[in-house]
Amino acid sequence: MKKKLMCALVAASMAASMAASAFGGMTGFAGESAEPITLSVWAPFTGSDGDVLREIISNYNETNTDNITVEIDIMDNATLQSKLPTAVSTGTGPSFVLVGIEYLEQYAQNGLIEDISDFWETTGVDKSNYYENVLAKSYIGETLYGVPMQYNLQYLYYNKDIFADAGLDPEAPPTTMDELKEAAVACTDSSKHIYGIGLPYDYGYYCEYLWANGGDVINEEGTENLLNSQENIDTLTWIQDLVLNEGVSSQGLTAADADTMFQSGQLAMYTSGPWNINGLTQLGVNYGITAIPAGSAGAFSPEGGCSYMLTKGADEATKAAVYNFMAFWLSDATLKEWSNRNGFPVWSYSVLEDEEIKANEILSSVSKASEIGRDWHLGLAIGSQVDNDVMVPMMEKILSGSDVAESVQEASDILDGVIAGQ
Amino acid sequence: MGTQANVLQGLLFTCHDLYIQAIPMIMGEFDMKSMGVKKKKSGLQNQKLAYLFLAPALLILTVFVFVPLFGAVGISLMNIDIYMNDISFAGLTNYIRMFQDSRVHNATFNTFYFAVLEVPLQVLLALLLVMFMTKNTRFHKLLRTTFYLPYVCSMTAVSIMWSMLLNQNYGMLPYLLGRLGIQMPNLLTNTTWAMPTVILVTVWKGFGYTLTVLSAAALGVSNSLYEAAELDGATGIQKFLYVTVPGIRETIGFCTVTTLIMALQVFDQIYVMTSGGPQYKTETLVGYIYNRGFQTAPYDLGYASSIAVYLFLMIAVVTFLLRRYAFGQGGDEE
Repeated sequence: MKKKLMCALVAASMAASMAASAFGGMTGFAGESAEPITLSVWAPFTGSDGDVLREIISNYNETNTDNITVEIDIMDNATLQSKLPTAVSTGTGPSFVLVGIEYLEQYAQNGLIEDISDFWETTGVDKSNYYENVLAKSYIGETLYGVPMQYNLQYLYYNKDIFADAGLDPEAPPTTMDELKEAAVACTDSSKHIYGIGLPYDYGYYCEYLWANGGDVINEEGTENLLNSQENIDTLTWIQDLVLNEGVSSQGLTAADADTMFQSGQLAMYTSGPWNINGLTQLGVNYGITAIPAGSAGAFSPEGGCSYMLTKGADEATKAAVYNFMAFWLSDATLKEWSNRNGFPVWSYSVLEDEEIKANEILSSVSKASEIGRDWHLGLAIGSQVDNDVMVPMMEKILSGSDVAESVQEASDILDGVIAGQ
Repeated sequence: MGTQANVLQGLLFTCHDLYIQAIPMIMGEFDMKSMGVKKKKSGLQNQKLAYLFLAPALLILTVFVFVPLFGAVGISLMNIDIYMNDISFAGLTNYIRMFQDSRVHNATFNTFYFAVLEVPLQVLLALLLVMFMTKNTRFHKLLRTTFYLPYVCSMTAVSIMWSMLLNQNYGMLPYLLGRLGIQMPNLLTNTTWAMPTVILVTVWKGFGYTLTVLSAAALGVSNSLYEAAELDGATGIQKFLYVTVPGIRETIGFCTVTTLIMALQVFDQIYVMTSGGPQYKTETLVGYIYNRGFQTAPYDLGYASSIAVYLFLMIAVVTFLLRRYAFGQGGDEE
């Protein structure tokens, strides 16, 4: 009984302090003299961006006046995904998680995360200061389940030195698929083991080519199979020809291989997300970033991003503390530091006005190339099945020389089964 | 996963030994004098004592073997995903689906392909080296230690190292061979070479362990047997084939069975080196269990468990057949 009374008193004092802080701005809404609280967060940031994230969190721990300590546990995504459901259901999960937005819907559907629709009102953070399309990725209907941490697309990276050596203008990267092929052929130099372009078989790295020529895989609702189309067959034949006949890309390439090859100057071009910017800059690679080239139907790039999500079962004190941290992340200083140090596009209007951001050449290129984002099947519950069971095996076959039309037909049949089985 | 399997295997062997020692006591055949107990106790008291000895082993077996095993069987009869929502009884649906799933057939084939090549290679390579290391000299000890080193390394680290060494685009081995004018295919993304490559890496990592166990057994073979063979004019190879091998037959059986069980559960190296690809050519049963249960929606634990039960039964049958017909005397039953 005493415990319950104490909990009620603590909750009441938290609520009172939160209400008070709502009028006084976002900092300190959890109460200046709140009880010390330690939060745990799981995140799959195993690259150099994880070091930056640790630093920012450490800075938060040292500077916040609300006695909140955030302890981050970084693990690879596969481990995180296999541990989280069990941990949450047994009450041993983290206070909140930082994961890709593709998990948001299935987490929400399966009761792993909390509805945080009161976040804006509680913290006083102005939601109109952020790109609407970025915020929309953390909503399901009208319900908010996450607070965006970063937003990204795929971009075309190109090595300016290789372009110059091939007689191409390093300041004029390809803007169409035809130009892309011409540049790839021109840059390929087998005597130096330099390939014109990296074409991995991971689906997230070739869907932009399908879209560029009017193809697609599945509709947004996940109910219609769009894979077996002439547009897709033509595009995939074009890719197969580039790899097997023109020899402009190494065969059997994974996205991780392509990263390594571009870093070591063996690739003239490849598509990837902004997470490579930090490493490439540190390595001193003379590179440029531009938008994905356009095909007959236009230019598109798959959207991605990560959000902070409050795990199920959080008590009011934990919720208030997590909100405090989320609000800290959305502050100009934090978002600016994250973009500046990692090269992720800016999605806050106030940060966009910052002079330092405006003067950052890479960030300007990235932000400019971020206008062609396209939603894809990441949010669908069957998204991972479409990737793992349909698209990756299909591309592996095509890039090993199998007949394109037959491979597409076979993959389409599997996709039918995936759609029917959901 | 491999390390956990080794620890569990050690526990099980310990439990097994305790069990074997306790059986005569339960049966009332144990003389307490052999344990230094002065007064011979009644059969009933002996039985109680025996059960007491058995209790820790039984507890360990229950927690680590029986509960998970029956749990897996139970889950395999359910419609259940990783989120534990909407659980319902599925009966044999998961098993029927499993036998119709071409990826299960493919994974079964790949699992046996791996085991049938990896186990003999590892044991024969170790045997071959034992032939030259039957003495306990400093040089032989150094060799044994060197060969054992990969075994103590993490399988993940070893797999990453070999993936990088063999990568056609930036690997050391293709580069060096290229300098000699030899073009090497991208072994880990080639449908023909991916599985043999994974097998060779596994043998490279594991044969040091087998070698150490077999060497220890070979050193225990009585010198008088070798002397007798020499008097009969036996050559070095003949001594090895007719003295050493029969002398360590039980140990060879132990190594074969334990290596086979581990081979049928292969996962780590394939997950790191090929992720089951290219085109499922290296996807094994444990890899597919992980894929269905934890990697690909709808994270079907029921279905994954049915494949796990299928794998368990297969390992049980293979182990039984090996112990019954190939290495029968290796057990303690006879």
